[in-house]
Amino acid sequence: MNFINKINKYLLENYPLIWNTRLVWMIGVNILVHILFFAIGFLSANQIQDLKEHHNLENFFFDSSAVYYNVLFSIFIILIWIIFYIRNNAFKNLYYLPKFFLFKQFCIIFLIFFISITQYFSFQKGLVTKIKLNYNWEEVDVDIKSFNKNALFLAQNQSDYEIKNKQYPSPFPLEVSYSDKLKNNIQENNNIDDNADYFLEENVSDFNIDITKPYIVKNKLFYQFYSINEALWLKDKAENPDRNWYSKNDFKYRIVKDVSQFKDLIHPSLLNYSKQLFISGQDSLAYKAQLKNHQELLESGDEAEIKKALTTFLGLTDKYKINHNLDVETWFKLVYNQPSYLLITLINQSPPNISGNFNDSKSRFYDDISFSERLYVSLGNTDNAFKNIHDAYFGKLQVGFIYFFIGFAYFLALFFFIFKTTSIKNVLLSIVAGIVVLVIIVWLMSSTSIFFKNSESRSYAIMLIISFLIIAFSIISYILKWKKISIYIMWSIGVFAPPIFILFSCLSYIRQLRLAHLDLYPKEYSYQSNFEIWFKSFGFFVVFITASITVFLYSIYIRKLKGRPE
Amino acid sequence: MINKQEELIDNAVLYFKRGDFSLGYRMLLDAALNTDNELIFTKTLHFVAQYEKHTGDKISLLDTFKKCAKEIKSCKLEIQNELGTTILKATNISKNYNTGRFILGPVNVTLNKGDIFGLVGENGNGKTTLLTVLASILAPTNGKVTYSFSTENIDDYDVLSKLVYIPQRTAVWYGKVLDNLKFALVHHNIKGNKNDLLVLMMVARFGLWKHKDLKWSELSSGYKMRFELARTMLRKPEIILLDEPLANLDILAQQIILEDLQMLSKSAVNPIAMVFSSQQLYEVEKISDHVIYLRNGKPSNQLNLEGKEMESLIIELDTENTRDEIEGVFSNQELQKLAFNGGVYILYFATEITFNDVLMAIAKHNISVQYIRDISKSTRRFFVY
Repeated sequence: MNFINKINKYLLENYPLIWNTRLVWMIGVNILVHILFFAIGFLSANQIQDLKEHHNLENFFFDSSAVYYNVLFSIFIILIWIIFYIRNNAFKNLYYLPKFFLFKQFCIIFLIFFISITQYFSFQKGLVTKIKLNYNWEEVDVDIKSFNKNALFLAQNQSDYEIKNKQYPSPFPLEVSYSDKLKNNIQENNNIDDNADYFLEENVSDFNIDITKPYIVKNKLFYQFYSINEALWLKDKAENPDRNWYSKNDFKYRIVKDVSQFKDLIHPSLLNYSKQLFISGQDSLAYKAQLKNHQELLESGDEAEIKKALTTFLGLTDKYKINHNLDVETWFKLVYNQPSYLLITLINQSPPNISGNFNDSKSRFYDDISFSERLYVSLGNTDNAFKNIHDAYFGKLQVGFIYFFIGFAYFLALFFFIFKTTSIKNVLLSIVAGIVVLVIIVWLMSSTSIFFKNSESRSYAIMLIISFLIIAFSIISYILKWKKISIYIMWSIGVFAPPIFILFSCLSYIRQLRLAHLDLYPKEYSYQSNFEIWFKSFGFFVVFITASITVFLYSIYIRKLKGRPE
Repeated sequence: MINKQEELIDNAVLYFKRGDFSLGYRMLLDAALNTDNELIFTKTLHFVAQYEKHTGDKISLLDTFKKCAKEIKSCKLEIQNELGTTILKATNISKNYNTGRFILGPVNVTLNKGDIFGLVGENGNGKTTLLTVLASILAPTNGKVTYSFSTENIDDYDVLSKLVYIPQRTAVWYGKVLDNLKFALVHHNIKGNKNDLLVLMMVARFGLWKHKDLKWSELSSGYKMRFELARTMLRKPEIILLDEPLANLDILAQQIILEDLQMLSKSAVNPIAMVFSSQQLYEVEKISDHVIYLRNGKPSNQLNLEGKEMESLIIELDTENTRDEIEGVFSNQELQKLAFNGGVYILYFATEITFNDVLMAIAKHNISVQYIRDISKSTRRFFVY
């Protein structure tokens, strides 16, 4: 206590602004609170199961009680601070103040609010630190690659093993279309059920087979494999920009391939498998290596190698706490179906005896393959764990959150700065006036459709006009020497108007550039002008700097206004 | 100027020696404050601690007092004599309120450093309005108020920070009173140890030593006003405007505050121009250099009151005797008019009659007197109508 008093005395006698804003104590308390949240974050990821629970690192905070602790701590700290902060007011007491004293005060209270509401970042830092301590990315990356390399034996999703996924050997990968009928009624003499739901796949339609080119018949269906003549398609597209993307699949652009030698593989097979089980941190080179490995392993048919792969996979499942009841021999017998590695039985994704357990991965492409009555591998949300570890190492700066916290801290700081430089009466009246302005905005937006057909244009125009009028009246009220309380109210609202005006000016300009471009190129809806790209990167800072300049001007003129006789 | 300081110290010692401890003590503190010297402050505060702690006869502290006085005297001062320098000039100021018919002024005021202006008048006659106009809180409808501060003004806010207006109802202080004083002082660039010493000096000067650790809510009205004055003085203002500073104070507190105001205003080192309003007519007149009486917003010189009664002797008398008896006593003394307002009699005499003549007549006829005062020159005479 004596130590606190000594520090307070020193600050009071030497740095009144720091003493009055309790900056030192707020920094001190917030350091402790941030350390606490760092610890909470650190303790949120003790084992791999914790990492599997959350889809991303943000959810560790927002899907847990940490967010409530944060809100409670922030409110508590800020409330205590306000009690001390409003005790002394040099400005209202007309003490001598250097010219930029008020703006400095605003900067300090902005800093205080910012550090009092951003425990989230400390939590994230703690979480990331713990993940990095527990898991080495290089090791995890090796494990992911190993998982992906050996996952072709997992045999859980039938659709993953269908021929449409096949990537090797050449000429694969190919597009595949299939149909139950052939054009000109050239149809096989079979009894295909026209109403069967397995004909509802994307590429299934009547007469989807060019009978002048090679096609395959299997199990009462017609299959045709082809690649797309991209050059021709691009040429046609250039000549006729209105061409629909679906027309790319027209017979005209198909280069049909004869793959009758792979006819057996229309049945789901390990040879068709090309999926990456876990994608976190994996690039195309890793994918190519994975496919190459699959091909070599399967083509060699080396039992020992395959068993080794299965052993490796099971070793990883233990490491990452993946439940299963497989053993190498049983699994090997299940998948080692030479020569085409056809799938006979699928492995369950969770224990099959659990009530309510079901698999939703059955394909409509081919007849359903039955699931094993006993075997399962429950990968669960292991992909979440890998994603979280990857994000802990390579996650990008959370700019959105930073913008939000800066904006929120700015709003709170400005609110209390207005209170500190005017009065509670002014603040209350300004809140009422602000609500009136909002009502007017809503009313204008809902009743001016006669003037503005486009709702976006209407919103922008109204926001621009209203914010401009508020700025204009804030200046006029000062020049014409309105009653002080009226000027205070105008300024209390007006200090929010310039950043809004700049924001909507930029948005309007972006919209104008886009409309101008779409006039010339009507189909390029995704067009982004250079200004829009620039604004997405720096727009926040432009608005924030505008807001800061506004507060700076406010701090200069509120001083002049205070000194002006009523 | 050095002589003035020495004179102040000598008087302080003299008063203390004579047994007027409080007055001597305050004068000594004023002298110490004049030095603006940290070492002197430290030594004086050492004496203050002894003085405030001492419960017996304070004459036993005389030697320590003299020693302290000697220390203060040894500190040489180089000060410019600012007494009499014009600091505020209000020319033909008037104020109209849109609502109601009240119009203040026109009023002309010229305030010099060291001047004390008393502002009297009944409620609702424009005292507070005039004070707030002089304090630049209200803008006059007509006329102009100009200030001549010793330093250049940055802006209007700077002007307000150089003068202090203390309203009748002062704002509540939150937190420790000492912290509030230090906070005020540090904004006027008195920092570090000097800030601490000067605040304690001012606390001692206003007799607040024993109350310095109390909260605002624990202080009586008199002490609150003294703390307010202490804070005001720490700001070293050149003009002080006080609205009813004596309201709600007991007679002793009024007396002390008035004495303090007078001493501070007439300080040789930092003379202050002071305007204050009050209902305590006699007290105001006792310390003021000029008194402005306001009726319906008009100062006395515009009410044609002065000329009418300029030549008369006007006596205020409180007695148990009847009106007939009083008229009988003064029948030979050209009693021109006798007014009775239910409490006291106001007697108007011709110019050749003196106050002593009246007193002699009262003594001769054995008239009982509770209270008697010559109000010929007092604004009290304007309150009789």
